[in-house]
Amino acid sequence: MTLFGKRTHSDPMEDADAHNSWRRWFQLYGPRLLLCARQWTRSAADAEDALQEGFVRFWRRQRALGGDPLGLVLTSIRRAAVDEARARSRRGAREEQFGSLAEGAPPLFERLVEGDERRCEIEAALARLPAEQREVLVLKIWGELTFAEIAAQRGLSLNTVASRYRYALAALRERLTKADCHG
Amino acid sequence: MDDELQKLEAELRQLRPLTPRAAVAAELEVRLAPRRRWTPALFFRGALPAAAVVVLAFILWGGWPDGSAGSTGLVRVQEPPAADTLLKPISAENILLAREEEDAFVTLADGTPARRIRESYLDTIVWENAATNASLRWTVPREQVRLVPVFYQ
Repeated sequence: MTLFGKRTHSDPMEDADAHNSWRRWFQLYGPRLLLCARQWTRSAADAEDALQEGFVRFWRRQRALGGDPLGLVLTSIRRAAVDEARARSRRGAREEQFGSLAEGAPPLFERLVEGDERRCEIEAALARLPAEQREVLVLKIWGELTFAEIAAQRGLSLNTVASRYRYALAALRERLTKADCHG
Repeated sequence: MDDELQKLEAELRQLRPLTPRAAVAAELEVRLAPRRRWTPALFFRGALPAAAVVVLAFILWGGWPDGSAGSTGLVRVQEPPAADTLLKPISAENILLAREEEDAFVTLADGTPARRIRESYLDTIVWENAATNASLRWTVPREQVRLVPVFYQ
């Protein structure tokens, strides 16, 4: 099965005109899209709203444009998240410190049958990364975008993207090593 | 990248992002549902009056062919109507019958609050042929909903 816009014969996006194709596509890529949305929003609920809004905008208006569909969807979701944040600041909403990744927020990843404590440690370490590093890490690891695709989408240089990724991994390793020592 | 970081990368890739709640897909079902082009209500509001206009115009300017076939079995087709026998549109009018402003706000796609205003109109179009004094008056009700953004200072 393809990942991120590299179409093959079995890619459901090839039959994009069929109204049912969005369901299959969403089933395949929805979890990654939600994870990315949570990097750009204040809460898990906002992430779902941005995911819905971004997906609808893409499906109605942008899928005929051509190009990498997953990249377009991610851009659309990010814009929806930014629009919601602007609307919220106009309504005078209170700032949240960690927002979507705060304690008590839904988990980012599916619970593991064995070793779920490790998943929790990873999620806690991710939440403490600087937002720009975490974003690049998520897009690279779980979004499976290349550095070039991330750079193009975010308007950054390749070096900046690659640096943020390395710093993010190094910071994660350090935090997880400390957690192991204290564990 | 050193081995430790590569191992961490591999470990991270094993984690599977959480699936969106069923409510998210349900909402998408509603928003992405195919828009029906024709419903019985649309048919009676749109197609029938249009068909009536076509039939009336045909009768007024052309009439039915007389159907005299002769020995060859061919049907004689009438000449197309002269330009001075056609009905020409002479007026179009919209009358606002009712206007209702809803109390509750809706939210636009960009997050701007908006007020929904529902207006009912009566549209009337008149065609006339000055030479024959024939006229056709077509009246159709119409309802429209406008979303007016609300801006706060």
